[in-house]
Amino acid sequence: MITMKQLFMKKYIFYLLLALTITSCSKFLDKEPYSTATDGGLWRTEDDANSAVAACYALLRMALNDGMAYYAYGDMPTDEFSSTYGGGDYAYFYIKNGQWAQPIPAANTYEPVMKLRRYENFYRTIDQANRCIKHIPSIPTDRQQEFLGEAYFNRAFSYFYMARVWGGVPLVLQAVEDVATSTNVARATEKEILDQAIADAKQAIISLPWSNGVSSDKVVRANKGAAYALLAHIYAWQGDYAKCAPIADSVISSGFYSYVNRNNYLSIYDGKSSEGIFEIAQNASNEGASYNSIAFYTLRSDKYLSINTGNAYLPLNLTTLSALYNDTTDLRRNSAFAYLSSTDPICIKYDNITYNGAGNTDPLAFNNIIVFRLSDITLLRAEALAATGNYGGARVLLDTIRTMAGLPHSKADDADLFENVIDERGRELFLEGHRFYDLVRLAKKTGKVEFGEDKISATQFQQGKYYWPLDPVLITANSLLVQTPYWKGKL
Amino acid sequence: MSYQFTHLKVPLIGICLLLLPYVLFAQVKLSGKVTDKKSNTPVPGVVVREKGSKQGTTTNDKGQFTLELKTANPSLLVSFVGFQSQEIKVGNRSVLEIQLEEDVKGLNDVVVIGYQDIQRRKTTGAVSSVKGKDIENIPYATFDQMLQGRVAGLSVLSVSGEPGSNGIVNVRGSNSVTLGGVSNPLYVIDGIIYNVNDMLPSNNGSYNNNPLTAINPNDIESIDVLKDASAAAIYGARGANGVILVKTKRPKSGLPQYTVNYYTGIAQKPAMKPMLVGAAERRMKMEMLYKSGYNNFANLSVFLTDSLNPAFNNNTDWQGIFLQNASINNIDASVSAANQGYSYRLSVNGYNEEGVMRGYYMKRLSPHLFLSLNPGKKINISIDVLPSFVKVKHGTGDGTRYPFDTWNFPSSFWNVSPQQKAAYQGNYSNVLDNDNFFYLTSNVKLTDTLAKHLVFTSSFSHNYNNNRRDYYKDKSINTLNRNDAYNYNNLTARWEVENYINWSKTMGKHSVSVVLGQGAENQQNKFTYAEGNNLTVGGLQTIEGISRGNNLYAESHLEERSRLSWFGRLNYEYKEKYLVSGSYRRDASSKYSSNNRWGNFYSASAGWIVSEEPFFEPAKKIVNFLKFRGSYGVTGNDPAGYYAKYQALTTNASYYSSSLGGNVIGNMSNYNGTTVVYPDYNSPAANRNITWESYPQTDIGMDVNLIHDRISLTADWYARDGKNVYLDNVLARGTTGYSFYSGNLVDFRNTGIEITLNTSNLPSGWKLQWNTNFNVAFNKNYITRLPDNNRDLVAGPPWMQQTLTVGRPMFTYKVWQVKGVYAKDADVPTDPLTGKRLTFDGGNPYGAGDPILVDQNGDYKIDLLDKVSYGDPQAHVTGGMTNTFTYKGFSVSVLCTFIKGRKLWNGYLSDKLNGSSGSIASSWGPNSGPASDFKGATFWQQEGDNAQYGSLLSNNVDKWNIANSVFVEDASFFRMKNIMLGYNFTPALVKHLKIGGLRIYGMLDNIFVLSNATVPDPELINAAGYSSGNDYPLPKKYTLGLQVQL
Repeated sequence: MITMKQLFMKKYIFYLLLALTITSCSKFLDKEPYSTATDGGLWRTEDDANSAVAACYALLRMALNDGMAYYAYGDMPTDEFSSTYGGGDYAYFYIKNGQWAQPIPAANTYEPVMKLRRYENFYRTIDQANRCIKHIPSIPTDRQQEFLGEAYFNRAFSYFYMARVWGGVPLVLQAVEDVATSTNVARATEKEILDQAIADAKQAIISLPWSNGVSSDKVVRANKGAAYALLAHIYAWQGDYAKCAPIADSVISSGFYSYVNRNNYLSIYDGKSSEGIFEIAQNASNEGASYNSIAFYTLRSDKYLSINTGNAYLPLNLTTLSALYNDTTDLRRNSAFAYLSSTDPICIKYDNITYNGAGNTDPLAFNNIIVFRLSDITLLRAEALAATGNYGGARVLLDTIRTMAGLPHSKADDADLFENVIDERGRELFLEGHRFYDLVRLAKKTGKVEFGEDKISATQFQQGKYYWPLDPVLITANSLLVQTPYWKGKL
Repeated sequence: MSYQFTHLKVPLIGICLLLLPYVLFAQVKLSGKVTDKKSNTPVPGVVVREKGSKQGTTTNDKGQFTLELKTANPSLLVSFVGFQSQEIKVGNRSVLEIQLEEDVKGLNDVVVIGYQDIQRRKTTGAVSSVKGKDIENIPYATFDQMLQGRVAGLSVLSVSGEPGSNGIVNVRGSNSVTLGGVSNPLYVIDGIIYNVNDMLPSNNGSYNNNPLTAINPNDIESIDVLKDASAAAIYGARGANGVILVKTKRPKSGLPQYTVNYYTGIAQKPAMKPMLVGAAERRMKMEMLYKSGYNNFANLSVFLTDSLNPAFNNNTDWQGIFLQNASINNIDASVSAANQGYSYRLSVNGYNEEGVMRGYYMKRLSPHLFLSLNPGKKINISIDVLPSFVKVKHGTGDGTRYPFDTWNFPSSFWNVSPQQKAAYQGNYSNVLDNDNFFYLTSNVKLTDTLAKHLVFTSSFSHNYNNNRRDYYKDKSINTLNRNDAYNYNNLTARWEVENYINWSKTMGKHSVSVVLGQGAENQQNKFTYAEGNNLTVGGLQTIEGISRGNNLYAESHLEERSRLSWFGRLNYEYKEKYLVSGSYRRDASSKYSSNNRWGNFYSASAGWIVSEEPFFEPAKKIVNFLKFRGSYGVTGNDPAGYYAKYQALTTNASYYSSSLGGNVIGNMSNYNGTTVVYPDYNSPAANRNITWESYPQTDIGMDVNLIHDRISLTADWYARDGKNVYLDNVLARGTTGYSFYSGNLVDFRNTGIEITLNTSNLPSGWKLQWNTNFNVAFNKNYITRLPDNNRDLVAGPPWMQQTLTVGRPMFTYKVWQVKGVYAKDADVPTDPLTGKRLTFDGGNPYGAGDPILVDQNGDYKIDLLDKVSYGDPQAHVTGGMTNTFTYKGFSVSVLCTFIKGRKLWNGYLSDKLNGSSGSIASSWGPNSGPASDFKGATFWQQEGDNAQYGSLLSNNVDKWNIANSVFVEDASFFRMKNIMLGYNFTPALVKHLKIGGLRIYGMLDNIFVLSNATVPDPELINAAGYSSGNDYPLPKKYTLGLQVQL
């Protein structure tokens, strides 16, 4: 027999349980996201590590495409392009003419001038590389060293690239943990940046294999050869040609790369040729580029780009063309250019266009960004040998490249050999993102300032105009930043 | 009936048994009838208690009651919501006729503030109320829109006239530091939390649907707006934006009572934006060109020059094609009954509003069941179920109102064939666009009186909101020239459990009531989206017959949050005139990391009813009631994303200029075939230390009733601070890689004064009665802290920037100050150094006919640095006035509303002029351009003109850029919002018809609006203050209705 009191007790217990169900479960407030990836769920498997490393390249790809950066920094402000106003190049007019202080409202983040004055894209690559360096050591995978090597390569490459564009930039070597409480970082010197890049490149050389873990990643992800090529370039930029030459030779003598027949010259730019050392992948399925890519700015007419029946958006410099390619038998001239006899010749290196729509509409360009390739490193070594007085060695390398292009051996004096190599680089690497830096090295070494059409005068070169300004937006957010010396007070 | 009765037999028998002692010891049997003094109709459901004993009863549907009196010198206490309570000495009468007088001042109404019922006269907080019958039958789908101008401090503004759309609802100013954001108050429907801020549909293409469409406005008994912290703090983490309590109608009488209500009406085809058409348009444009010395007639568009060509000499009414008269129909039916063992109310609402723009509508079917059972003497179980089925359609379904925007709105010269017209109209009505909402709001509650004065309640609430949209876009209206089908499925499911104990006791002059409780809440949002392109099989309108690949895309999303709470509230009163109350609530949210999880929210308040003091007695003849009150408290808000503490990673590998080609849907997500994953640098960086926002608020107020309660006045001063308000668009250091970062970064303040005045303007004995409600609120808001040393925060696109600046209201417009128009070139300032005229951003110089923009920094260049703050989109003064006249059965009620101090950004004028300024030769013909009538705006045409705006014929200096102070206009308005007319048939006639009551009524809504703004409607601007002029118009509505009680 249950008494009334017991009945009440039961009820109270029931109510108490009701109340307790709410508080008893401590996990109740721990909610992990289902539809958003976070670090909590990542960094466990080889696939995770692979995706994280691939992201470094994807971020680098963004950085080198944003505002057409690779070509805007490397080619536009040189004698390759006419300084006149082309049909559709309003956005790049100031860039190619060295007018980098053009005022741009802070909100107009879409303006290429602003994009090119800002460095966030590179710090994204660096942050992701830092994250990989932090997390990958704890992931058990056979490819751990390779992945780490790739991360170091990306960091080295990004700092090297920024050093060439801005000189000294802030040095960040730790993954960003909390943006809200992060601190301002001042610009390091260019030497500090390059030293870090050298250290990272060396680390990458140690960690990376010659053959990528996945064969289809060859060329578009770093291997030992890419790291050597990078290190050679860093030394050359520093003017340390004594160190540059043997590093460049490590690539050439590896036997891992071979020249593409100059009759098939254009196949280099489709990507992943036997000559490629490091490229940015943009030719796999789902990787095409459309408007605002280099192909769309340099091609024209039905044959190459059906949608542009007018002039090329970025007109080439006719004087430079006829001077560089004064030998009209040059296979590279005849493969890589079209309409040479017209007033609007074009460079067709990036003409691997696929039309998705009926009647040649909806074009997509599938060309990798060719960052380092064998003839680039061969000529870089030639440059280093010429700079260090080994003219014979330099000539051998220079003539190898010339012979392939159907040109006679170089007749340059020893004194002119350095410049002759730079000229050869101009012919070989036209519109490949090298010319600007080649001209800087030329000017530093020989005092010859040849950016064309007064884009950068000799005086301006002395004042350091070849370094880009920082956008005021960056300085607003980081009070420790100081403007690049030449541009102080100009924007 | 018999079936129901069988089931209720047991409790009924139990109740009969419980009543047995009273039957046995009955002493005096009293019977009576309660009627409404004004209408002389019986009032059912009135509570009649014997003073000093526990017994009481309620009147039946005829207003009758019987009671066995037990005390000597018995007195009856008679009370009913909305009427004055009475105490009646019975004497030796055995039959009583009691007349109830309406309680205009509402002091005895009960407000349910956070788990406790509190009499209005004893509240210490700032609470305003609206009675359901004041907003009954107003032809809108949602009740929030009916509240404009009715409550001091509650600002309600429409942004669209679309049926069932969202508006801007703010209590005491905005708490949103996101440009265009709205800090909606917390709605609580019969105790069930209904947080629309956490419910708004994600991007499902349904745009602007208001979740309050789930609630039938005619089901509402009363609405209480809790404005200060003392009232809202018990809702803790959710109370920062103010709380709006909605009480639905409850059963009142014994026998089943039936009511049927029906109204029908039209929304009038809106007055179109004034525009010159046909010959008048041509004449106006040509005259303007001649007068201004235009010299390019040879190239002028044939639309203008070839007036004889039938292709261009039309006077097409472009707006008219898309507008129409539309119907509104509403039907309500309800049955309710109350008994000691059970009570129930079942109501059904059908609402159908057609759009005044073609192809729009909103339909609702919402039954509502309330059931209350008393299975034991001390136990009550109640069930409240509010399902609602809502179906909406939005024109072509792609978010555009018209197929053209303001920028290039076509001129009337165009010829539109009947076929084209039919196609335009058909496109808006014949596509599959099945946008269905199913809302289910429900609650089950158990109440048990554990001991004397001690009541335990356990409540389980559930909200289930599903929105599924199937949308087919035919080739004929698809710019991509293909047949596409879309499917959106959005689900919000939330449950909440609350257990609490109420204890209340009166000990002599002391009265104490306490509530203590705990709660837990969980919400899941689920979203699925699918898209199929290039449907080829005729007749298929959903994603069918498409093979895997580029034409098929899908994504699904799931998020979840939870919350735990503890809460308590204490009310203490002494001698019924000294009132103190305090509340405390502690909430933990899953959104924050474990050390930032708990937030504390509390309040303390006090009130003093001065008029109860003996010393006040002499003044009481004039001042019948006087109360001072004050409160301080902290409410909260947790607005961040569900996973804001986690840094989101992304797989997006797209790059500038990258493309998948051919409008292929989806993102590029790999590098050389490997899927990439990295922190989402383009989105604001997460902040692991993110935590609650808190809102300390002080309120000081008074309530006073004068001259026999014929005048009642409530006044409040308040200051509410937003502290640590979350913001996620703060510029990050470039070295972090992130563009923006997030955190609890902003402080601001809303402060102001509210006044409500109710008056009965005629003596109470008169048959004609005239009551006035006037309310006005002044609110000022300004930023008090910004991150990075109070650096200004700029929001909006480059050409429409608005800033958060310390010391200024939220989102002031940044514009160039315009001081007239240059009459001649020589008037333009010249740089003494270069001898050149002032330029636009270093480019073209200013000249005659260009606006005079003030060169603030004197660098002879008009650029971004010359922009100044110029007004803001906040309404600084809001209010309304209702005048109600009654005479016998007739009643007329007129509501006028107004706002002041709000500025708008006139995109209508700017876009119209911009659209035709590029090339007059080619665009003045095909575009309507300057042919719109901008309420008499004048344009500079020749030297000597003193015009408002510059010349229409040149545009070298981007003069129609919206960032000119001439495009910032005063959005103040005065609107005659609503007129209600009603007639209650006399009891005699009603009796004759053998029904309980009969009322006919009519309604006029949006009668007219007065304003200085030149946009079509000064109210239809979005929360950021922008008016495109192409918005969905707010129509006038006329309805007629009939209400029958059976």
